[in-house]
Parts: sequence; C-alpha cells; structure tokens
Amino acid sequence: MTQVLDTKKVWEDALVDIELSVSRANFSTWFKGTHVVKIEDGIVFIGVPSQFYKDWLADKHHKTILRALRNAEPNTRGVEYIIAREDKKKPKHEKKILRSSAVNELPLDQHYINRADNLNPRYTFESYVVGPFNELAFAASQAVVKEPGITYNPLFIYGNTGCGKTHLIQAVGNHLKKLNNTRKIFYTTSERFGTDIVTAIQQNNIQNVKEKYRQYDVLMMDDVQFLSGKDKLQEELFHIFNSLYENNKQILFSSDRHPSYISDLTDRLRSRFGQGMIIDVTIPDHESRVAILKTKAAHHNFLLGDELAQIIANEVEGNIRDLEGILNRVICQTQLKGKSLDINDVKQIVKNNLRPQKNVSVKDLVERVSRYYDVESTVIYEKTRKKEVVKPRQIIMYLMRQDFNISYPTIGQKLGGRDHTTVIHSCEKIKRELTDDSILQREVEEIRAMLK
Amino acid sequence: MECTVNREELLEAVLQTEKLTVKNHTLPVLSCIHVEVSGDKLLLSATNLEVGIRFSITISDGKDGVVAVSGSVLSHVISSLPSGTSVSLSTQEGYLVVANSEGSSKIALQEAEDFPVLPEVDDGDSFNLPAKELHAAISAVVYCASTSTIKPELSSVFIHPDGAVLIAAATDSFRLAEKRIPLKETIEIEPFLIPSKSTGSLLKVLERADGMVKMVSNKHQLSVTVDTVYITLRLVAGTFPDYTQIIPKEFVTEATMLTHDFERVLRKATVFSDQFNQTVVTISPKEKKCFVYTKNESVGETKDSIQAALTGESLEISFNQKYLVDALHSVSTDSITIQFAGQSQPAIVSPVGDSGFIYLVMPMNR
Repeated sequence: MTQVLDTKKVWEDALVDIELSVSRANFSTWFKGTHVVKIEDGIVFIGVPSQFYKDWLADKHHKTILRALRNAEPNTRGVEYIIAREDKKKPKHEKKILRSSAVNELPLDQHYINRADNLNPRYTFESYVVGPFNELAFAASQAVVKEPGITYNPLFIYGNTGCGKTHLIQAVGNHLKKLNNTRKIFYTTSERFGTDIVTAIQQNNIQNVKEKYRQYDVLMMDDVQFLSGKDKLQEELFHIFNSLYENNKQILFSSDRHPSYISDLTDRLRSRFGQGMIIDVTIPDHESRVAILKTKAAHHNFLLGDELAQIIANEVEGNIRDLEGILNRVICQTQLKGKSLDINDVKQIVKNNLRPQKNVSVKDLVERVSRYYDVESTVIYEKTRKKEVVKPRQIIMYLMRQDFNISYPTIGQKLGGRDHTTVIHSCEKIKRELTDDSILQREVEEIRAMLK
Repeated sequence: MECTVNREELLEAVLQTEKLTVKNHTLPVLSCIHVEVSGDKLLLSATNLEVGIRFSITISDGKDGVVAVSGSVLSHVISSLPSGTSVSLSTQEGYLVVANSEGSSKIALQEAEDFPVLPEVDDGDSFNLPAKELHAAISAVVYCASTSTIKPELSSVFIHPDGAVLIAAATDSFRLAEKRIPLKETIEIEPFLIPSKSTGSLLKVLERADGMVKMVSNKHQLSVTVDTVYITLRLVAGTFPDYTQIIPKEFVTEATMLTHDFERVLRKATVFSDQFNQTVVTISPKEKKCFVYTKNESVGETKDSIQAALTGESLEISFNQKYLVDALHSVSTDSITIQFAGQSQPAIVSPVGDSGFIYLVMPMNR
C-alpha cells in the first residue's frame, strides 16, 4: 500500500520540477497524460498514452525526466517508458441514459471474458494470499505449474464456498498461459460443460465436443459437485478424463466437498478424482484474514489501518467473500465521510452487514434428519425402538451435542423426555461408529451440509 | 532550404497532410506541416498525435533544410496556384517563400524543433494485406463505431482474419456491422483495433494502393507504407467483445424487399421522426403487408407500404430509423433481407446474394 502512494508522490514531485524546465506547450502536451506504472529496483516505469509520447519523451526529455526523478527519489537509476493507459474514473453513462431508454443494447457485455480459454486475468498467484489454511493447496498448485501433467494429475481442490478455490485453479491456468502461450488452456464449470454436452446431443454433434475437450493441454473444471446424479455427463467426463490423462495433460477440479461425499457419483469417476492429489482449503485463520484484507484494500488503493484490519478479521469469521463485502462497505463509507472510520463505525458496519448466524431449531433438525432417512418426524419423539427410527434419533442427538453444544439432559427432554444417560450412550455410540464406518461418515457429512 | 517541385504532386501531399493538422492544440506546432528537404527528397509530414503521415516527393536538386509552416495557409496558397506549373520553395529570414512564374508568397515559419517525431514500428510483426480488400472491409463497417470514448474498443474497427477471410467489425452496442472479404490466400495476423477516428487518413492512403500493402504493427502502433506515403497510427489496446455469440440464429419473421424501395421510404420518414427517431415496422405475412410508420406530434405522420416477400409470424417492431438507414450504407445489391428474431431481439439486415455483410440492429423499447 505504501508503495502505491509513494510512486504517485514521486511522479508528482518530479512533474513540478519538469514543469519549470520545459515550455508550457510542451509540458501540457507531453506530460499531462503520463503516470507512473511502477518503480522496480530504482527503475521508474512511466506509462504514456501512445508511441508518439514514448518516442518523444525518450528522445527529447529523457535527461530532464531522469534529473527530476532523481531529485524526487534519490535512488532512481533509470527510466523506462511503456504504453499504458491510466485507469481513470470514467464519467459513466452520462449520455447513455437518454439513449438506452429508447434503444435496447446488444448484450455485448457478457462476452468479454469469453475467449478461447475462459480465464479471468484477475486471478493470479500474485494476488493470492497464502496462509496456513491453504498453503498445502498452494504448494500443490505450484508443483503443478512446474511440471504440468506429471506431478499431481488430477489436482482436486475442495473447500467451502468463498475460500479461493476458483482463484487458485484459475491462477494455475493464467500462470501456465504466461509461461507458454502455445498451450491450449481451458477453464469451465461443470454447469457449462453440461450445457455443452446437452446442446451437442440436441444438435447431434457430440463428436465435436469430445474433440474440443480432448485437444486441451490443461483443463480446469470448477464445481464438479454439480455433476452429481447426471450420469451421461459423468460418462462423457470419464472418457475425456481418460484420454487427457493418458496423454499427460494436466487436469484440475474444484468442488465444495471431498469426492467421497459427492452423492450420486459413479465409482469410476470418484476413484479417478482421487487418483492424483486431493487437497482441501479451509476457512482462513485470523492472521490470513488480516493479510487478505490488506491485499484487497491495496487493490482498491485504500489504506487500511492495522487496527481496523484486526477488528474486521476478528468480527468476520466466515469466508473471503464476506470479508470482501465488509471491506467494500468500509471503503465506500470512508469515501462518503471523507475521513477514515473509527473502531465503532467499523463494528457497526460489520454488525449491519453480516448475515445473522442461522438458527436451527430442534424441530428443524429433527425434520431434516427424518426426511433424510425417510421416516415420519413424529416417530422420533415416540418411545419406539424400531431400528429405522433409532438410528436417526441417535444421529440427531449426536448433532445436537456436537454441533450445537446442547446439554445432555436438555437433549433428552426435547426428544420426548428421555433420560440423559440414554443421550450420552447414543452420542458415544455414533462417535465410535463414525471412526470406522465410512457410510455413516458420509451420511453425517451430508446432513451437516443440509443444515448450513 | 530550397527546392523546386511540380505543383500537382505538391498539392496532393499538402491537402492530405493538412487534414491531420490540429488547430488550437496545446502544442501550437501541431497546426503545422513539417517540410523537409533531404537529398533528392521533399518530405511533408503532419500529425495529431493519434495518426502521423508523411509524403515523400522526389526532386531534382535542392538544399537540405527543415521548416514548419501553418498547414491551412500552405494548402490555401498551393491550391490557388495555376495547375501544371512548377513551384519553388525556399527559406528567407523566418519565412518560407513559395514562388512560381506569377509571383511569390511568404509564409511565417514556426518552431520546427517541437514537431513530434513520427514513430517507426521496428519491434513489431510485419505482414501483408491486400489494399483494396482492407479498404472495402473498413469502409463497410466504420460508421457503426461508437462516438463515445467510454469504451475505446467500441470506438474502433476490429480487424481479424479467419483463415482466408478478412473480417472487419464495428459496433456502438446499438447496432453492429460485420464485413467478410475472401482473400486469395490464408493470412495469419493478430487481430487489431483501429480507432475509428483514424480510419479516414488510412482509407485515403489505401485508395492509392494496388495489390498488397506492407504493414508493421506491435500491440500499440500500426505503420503502413504505400508507395511514397508513410502512415502510422495508434492502435487500441483491449479486447473486442465476442460478438458472434449475439448474432441470432433463429428467426420468427423474414422480409425481402428492394433496397431502393426501403431506402426511399426511410428517407421520407426522416422528416417525420421524433426525438428518438422512432419508426414502426409492421409486418403481416398472412395479409402480405409490410408498413413503415413514423410519427412526430409537431410535424405529422407518414405511413408507407413496401412491396416485399414475407414469411413467418406477424410482427410490429420499432427501430431508430437512423440505424436502419445506416444499414444500407454498404449494400450494393438490388434487394435486402431483414430477419427478425422477435421483440427486443436484434434484427439482421443482409444484402441478398452477398453473404459477406451482415448488419445487426436492436429494436427500441415500446
């Protein structure tokens, strides 16, 4: 952040100096459109609007510029000119409002990223914050970048929403693209893949789609959990996977859960997902949250004080998207007020904007679990010992204890007046069975997902 | 500086360069033509910092030298000289003396030192494009480019090859034109975006050329040399939207009519257009009727029927008629087909028997 402010200041100081040594006409023509892009190792990179400016400044004013920059920043060793437009705040939609009310616009906006690879250039490793919560995933993707198709193939990344899965796999794609532009890279979501296949079936040219996917050197597929229950898609993906894998092409998947917990996934696909490397990214810890906040703030050219960053990181425990939302609010409010916010303001923003923690009532829990096991929710409360009722009841007790920290006697009371020892027994039993019963594990995992 | 030159040759160069001079720029020298004698060449250049152009005229002998003189004054002087004569240019104490057998004029000099150097693209890719085809492609679409500067890529003409086809496209997000011109051989170039404002000078230069033109471009700059003329212009950085995705493939109604009829009716409607230029097109294939209706409270209204072959559903749809007129700009065939994809879907105007041109236009909200 300090870097961003500095470069601006350096150039402003230098401009004041330059203004004195060149004629007014020259100054306003050649220097008005310039800005500093970056300063690296004492080399100042000056962004100019076009080749005309680049040639002219380099030819005629190089010495003046260098001297002025040295006065402003003694460590300056050299100046480079690059053609780059300054991102100005654009005066948006002034005239358009009148016209667009009359004529509809062509829907062009949706088709900007939609190029050959679908990658969003914003997602890079440089902008990815690494912390304990994702360092393993980061290391794995670095390994993939070094030897695509060999080290970990496929790389399967899973984790909760808003933890940076998409960012990570797209960063791999962007990085590989930068290293070698001839590689055919493709990013897609399982949903888009589905649409591709379905249209192809409709138009009777499924072969073309197969060919299309098989030509890629790197294939990234986001949110594969949506393939659940779609047999035809799974079959196509299976074949594409095989042909890519055989040719040592890198494949990356992301999902919101471990492949074993994706329901209705054919075993052959499940086992292939697990063939390379499966890594999870979790919710960021406190320090990482602070680091993420700072990076994002720097992106917006916003100076976020340490104290405020700590507070936001403390209050917002959820995913990175929540953090970003709060940060945007803070930036917006700061601009509105024209001064930096104090602690109470920030706390207020956090309080107003965070989703309330979802309250799950006992009744809800019972209803969902009984629906999951397909039993009447009322029988849970009854004193029946039928096997098909006992299991859901025990799971309910286990979840109430584990996830909601309700005391044993209360649990007993809520579920039809049972003794607290019964409850303890049930909880212990489920806990024990969970350690080696993988089916039960999956069931509990799925129920938990439903409750979120 | 001193030289003698044929008036016709000089006139063309002066008129062309004068178009690029800028009056009232912060840099006053941009209103000038830069005149240089170097060896057996007389060089005239001008730039607006977007486009730079340089004409080179061969002369028998002269004295080297560099001056800058007001473009408008010089063009005025040269065009008033009798044709077929020879003109001598020389400097004399702060003036450029333009003399012929009749008399002489003295034009005040300006600081030639400040005149920008025209960039040479030396680190770029060089490629050849056929001049006629490139000219045709650009002029067929350029009027669709946006005039606003908010999105630079939309105020440009997008040039890209597709195998052995040269494609030019432009849009202001309300309508879009695409021209495809088949070439003799496959070309492989990176797509580029020419600012629509710079196309005027480029087209003028391309007009003179025959066959292939050598071009050099890097990401930011494009240079073209045609005979004795050098032109260099700034390219727009950015991506053009993938417009092929929005071209409708299924249509509810189609109308084919004579280009002349449609043009005539629209021209009449211009008088009656309101502030939004709204024109209502009514098509009823069952009753074999096609009407164009325009109304303006303060002027009146007009309703005209057009002879047309119609298929599909009945439709009543409004357009900005200026956009419809524009569609006919680069149509040279006798008849056109208009295909409608329904309300608030783009309609396509295309010449019958020429698959190389399509024009997309959005209807108006009702």
